[in-house]
Amino acid sequence: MGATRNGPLHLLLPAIPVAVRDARLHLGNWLQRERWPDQPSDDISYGVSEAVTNAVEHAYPPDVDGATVTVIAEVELLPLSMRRVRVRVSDHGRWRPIPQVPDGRGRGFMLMNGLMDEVLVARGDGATMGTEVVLLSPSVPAVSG
Amino acid sequence: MCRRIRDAVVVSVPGEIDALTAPQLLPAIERCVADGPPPRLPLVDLTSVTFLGSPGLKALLDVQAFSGRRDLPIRVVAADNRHATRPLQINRPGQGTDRSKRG
Repeated sequence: MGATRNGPLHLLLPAIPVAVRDARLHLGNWLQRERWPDQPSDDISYGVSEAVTNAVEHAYPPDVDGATVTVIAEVELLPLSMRRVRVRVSDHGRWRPIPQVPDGRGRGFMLMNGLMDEVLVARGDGATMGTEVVLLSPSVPAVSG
Repeated sequence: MCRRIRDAVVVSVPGEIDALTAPQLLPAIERCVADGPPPRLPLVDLTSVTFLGSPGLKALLDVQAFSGRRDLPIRVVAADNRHATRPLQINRPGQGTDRSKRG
């Protein structure tokens, strides 16, 4: 079977701007180990960067202690020897509505939607649970061996 | 960061344009445009960008607004650098969300 070569990627990052770069680097390495093709891999990294940016910039009030972002990525096998990546980016902050006029945040979601097959947003109750953004990548052929 | 080629001031932006670095873009261009004899048409060189996120796209819009106010036609060059062309292509108004999707 072997759904993935490495198992899921699990990152727990401090919700600070440099987390965006860290997430992208770890995810890029993980996708490389999964032998993901270059351009689709870049698209996943760009999309996840936007989700992490969103969590870092909008989920928490300034100077909150212990603010974190979690990134979990896993490969899903699909029929017809295809595969895709499901990435969940979650915070423990407060949900804020996405503005209609594309400001920075609206633009981030526009990019995610353009890069990914599907983008789902689950809002928490704001007390114990933050926002989770689920990104489903476009599918690529599975590799053998 | 700025170099002059005929009537253009070329502003090269290497590396990553993310939330950390995007705020530096407009001030850098303002400095380059303020230097030397006119005309100084800003040309933003993105050919060695390694990441262009939404804060960078926003910063480019700010640069565009700035050059509009100064009546300086701005040019953005990305050549075939996909790290820049891909987000720019998706961000183009009206084309960001109409990509066909599988059900």
